[in-house]
Amino acid sequence: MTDNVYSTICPGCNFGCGLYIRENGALEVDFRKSSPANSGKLCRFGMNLPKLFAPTKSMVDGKETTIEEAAKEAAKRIAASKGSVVFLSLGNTTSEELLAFQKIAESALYTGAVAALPEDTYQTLNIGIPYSEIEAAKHIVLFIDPYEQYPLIVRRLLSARNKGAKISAVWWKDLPLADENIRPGDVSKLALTKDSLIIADYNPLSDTEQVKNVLALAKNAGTRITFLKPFANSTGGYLMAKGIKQKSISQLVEDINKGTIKILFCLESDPSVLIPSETLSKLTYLIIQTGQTLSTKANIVIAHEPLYKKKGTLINNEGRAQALGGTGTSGLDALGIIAGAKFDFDSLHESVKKAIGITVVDEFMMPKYERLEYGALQASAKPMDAKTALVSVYNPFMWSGLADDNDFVELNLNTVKALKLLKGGSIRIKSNGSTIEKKFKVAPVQDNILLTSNKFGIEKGIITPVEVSR
Amino acid sequence: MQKGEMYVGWSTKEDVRKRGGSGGLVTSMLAAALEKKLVDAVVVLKKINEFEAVPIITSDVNEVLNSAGSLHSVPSHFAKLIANRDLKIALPAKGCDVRGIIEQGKRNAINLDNTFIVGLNCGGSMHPAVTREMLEVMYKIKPEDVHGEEIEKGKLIFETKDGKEHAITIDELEEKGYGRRESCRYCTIKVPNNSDIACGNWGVTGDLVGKATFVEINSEKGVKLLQNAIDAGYVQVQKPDEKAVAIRVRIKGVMEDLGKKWKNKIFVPIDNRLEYFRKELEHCIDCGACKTVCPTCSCGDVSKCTEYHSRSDAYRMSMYHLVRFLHLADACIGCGQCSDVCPVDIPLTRLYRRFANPVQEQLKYEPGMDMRKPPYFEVKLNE
Amino acid sequence: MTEESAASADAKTNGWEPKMVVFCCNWCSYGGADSAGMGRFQQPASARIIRVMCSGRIDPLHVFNAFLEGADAVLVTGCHIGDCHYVNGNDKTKIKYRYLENVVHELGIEKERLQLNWISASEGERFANFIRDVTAQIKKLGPSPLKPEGVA
Repeated sequence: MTDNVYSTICPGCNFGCGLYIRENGALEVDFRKSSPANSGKLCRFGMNLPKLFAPTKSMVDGKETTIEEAAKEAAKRIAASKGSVVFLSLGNTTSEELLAFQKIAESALYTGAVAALPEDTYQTLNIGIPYSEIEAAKHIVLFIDPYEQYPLIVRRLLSARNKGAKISAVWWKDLPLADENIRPGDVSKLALTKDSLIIADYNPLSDTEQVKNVLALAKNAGTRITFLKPFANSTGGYLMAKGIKQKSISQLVEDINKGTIKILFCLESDPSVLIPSETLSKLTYLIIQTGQTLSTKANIVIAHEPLYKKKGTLINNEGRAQALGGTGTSGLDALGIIAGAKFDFDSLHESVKKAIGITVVDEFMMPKYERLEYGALQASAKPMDAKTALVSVYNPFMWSGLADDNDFVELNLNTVKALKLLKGGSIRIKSNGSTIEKKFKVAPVQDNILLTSNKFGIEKGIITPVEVSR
Repeated sequence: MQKGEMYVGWSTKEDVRKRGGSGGLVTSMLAAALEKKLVDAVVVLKKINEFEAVPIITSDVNEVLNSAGSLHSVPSHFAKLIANRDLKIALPAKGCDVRGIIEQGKRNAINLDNTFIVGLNCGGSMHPAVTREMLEVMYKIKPEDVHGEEIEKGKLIFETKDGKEHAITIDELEEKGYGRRESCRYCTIKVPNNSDIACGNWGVTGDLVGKATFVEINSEKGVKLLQNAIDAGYVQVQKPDEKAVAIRVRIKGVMEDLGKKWKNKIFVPIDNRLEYFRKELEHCIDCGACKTVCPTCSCGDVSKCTEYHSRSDAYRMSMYHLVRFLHLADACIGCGQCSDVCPVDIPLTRLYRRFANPVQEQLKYEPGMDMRKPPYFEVKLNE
Repeated sequence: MTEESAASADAKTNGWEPKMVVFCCNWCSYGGADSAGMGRFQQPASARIIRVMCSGRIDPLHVFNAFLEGADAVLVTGCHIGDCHYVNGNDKTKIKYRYLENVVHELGIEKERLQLNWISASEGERFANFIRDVTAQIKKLGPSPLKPEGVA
């Protein structure tokens, strides 16, 4: 008997946190204190990883089967669909798998939210600034809630602050680590210099105009800007798919609604996060290849080993290449069945290294990336017109569909007083004809804003206009 | 052979002597325990690189013989690893490991009768991330070039692959914020006499320096461990001379005094304490890592600190931390694991010690040093 | 001056009445509170009594919760040592209380805000005096620093 311990990377976001997964009957996380991104530290989501890695079974139309049979059936249905199939991966898997995936998908590939943004911004959006540079910044501007969305950045920010950095937060609520709290509507009050560094969030649900707006802010002030991203290999997904034409998620939704897309194949991605369930139900077949617990019902599930057992390379937000400590390639094998070819890990691995310009995968070494300039942007972010709004603060739990202890909304004392809410009671939230009742927590939030890190089912995107009452 | 006796010993296997430090006695003793079925499994550190090793439980003698030995930059803790597994097991343990194991034993999560604890003298451990930075900033050497490391006469020495030695005093390193983890600095358990057998290189003199280990037998289980290894032909021992024993006592004394000095330096009285604790805790993200890793906590998933705490609470201080402060007032062993794993760098061990120091002093209770029941569970308070 | 101490200075002059959670055991101190009323001993309206069967039932968690919900003081009362109706319940109270006292003190909460007293069923006057004394002490200190925003 010897413990099975895997050295792996947390798939909660693109931060690149190293950890060990220990197989001991049940799964346990253990701390990999030498990991460069996180010194072994993990957030709420990282601590809950064993729940995410609960095993899944291969299924065809609700019947359990083997991974080969499921992949063969998927290949058969895809071949019969005559091109009305789309392959979607948000980048929650290894760069090697993503490369193989591209070979199958070619033009019909969607790996994220490269929406209506100019191409010269892609590099800036997708390859972040090293954390050590963030720690050394003089002025940091946050367009995120670091505690909720990317918790491991908090200690870098605190370290910067201890070294004398000023932190400005452009957010819906006061953040304890910020020296200056500015509301998103008052962003004009923000004073940027060449010494500033903007940290924003870029994900498939991001409002394009908002992203343009932040990019323009940075451009006009000559400020450095870095985007944090929600999927384990978001950066790798970009680097591997460089130059490949992709459409946006909204385009995909439109195509499914129109009926031109009949089959959706998802690789290690939960489509229900991005695509409304009524749209998904229009598909003839939904095929999901994954190693994690699923919250979406699919026609075919191709269940391979979980990420921690895989062999391969992830690229974190800084652009660091990190090796997964597993040995499994059943994901690649399944993709091979679908492609009708066999994918060779080693040659894919060589291509991955070539794409980043490295000869060996060493997490302590930072590959060199150009910080490309992008052209001037015309942003037309419209002011929020709703009187009251529910703002969804997307965190790793929401992206992966894992339950968390957060069935409440945050609001401020003025809202409590105005609505005469009762202590320990709840608030009624109405949107588009549906009403929900939720517990609330008093926090220094902007007036008439409700914040949530949970999905209640009444949301329309990130900001949902709502009516509230007692 | 009996409890209280001291020996100097080494492994009879040449390759183990070469690879392991100090004569490879500990490695051989663990291997012998496994080989001769004294135990079913052993905990060893599996080396990944010069700064990283992962503890594993194994029944494979080869894993034991190939293990990393001890590394100063691997601050892992073994108590939680073996808790609730019901194994007949032998393991190496620093002072804080031993204390955690004993506390788990009191809480019925570890059967101490089946646990053979090989104590290791410990002057402190270092966080691997801090060590890397220290190498670059203080030593001006690349972490990748490091080949070996040792502590000698108050200096931390790194040997690089080109055979050169780089030495800086620990005092100077710690002055600059590097060196040992904070909890190690004020730790006063340098020789783990709470273990079954305490091993280390303090007291090894003359020709044997670097080639042997000094052991002190603390219990019947300790006798079994060493006798078993000798009978199996894995280990040779001899009696130490009086001078050696005296040297060991002196080093121990110096180290303990240093720990006390650090304790006084770190725990200066604070005036506005409530504000201090609130400020330190304001970045908490409720990840629960400090509890998961805590070697004296045996509550599992259902525990007071988590069940009575909700993320929807808007209290001025979280119930989670208040309950932890109370529970750790008598249980905290100051191992520093909580500070190590906190994602927002709250100096948790320091906070817990703020409560534990006065309470443990007042009750004259040192958790993990013996089998005394925690005073909180006494029926009558001994005034 | 911090915002909090400004608030407490304000409270002291404006006839602010503290709110205190008083844990009473069913057999002794609750009887004491009862006799205080029957005997018409004057006492301020600051006490909120919570009756428990035995003071030994009072978990430190209850005390923390009282503070977090906005109590300006928490008083733990029970039978005199030796008089416990469950043989040694109040011995256990004493053990737990000593821990709690230490932790609450280290936390930086004034010692007046957490007090222990043994009161028998016949000691109505003692109960009334206790409430009066503590109320006066707390009035001097002002509202608890743990009181949540928006709670009076």
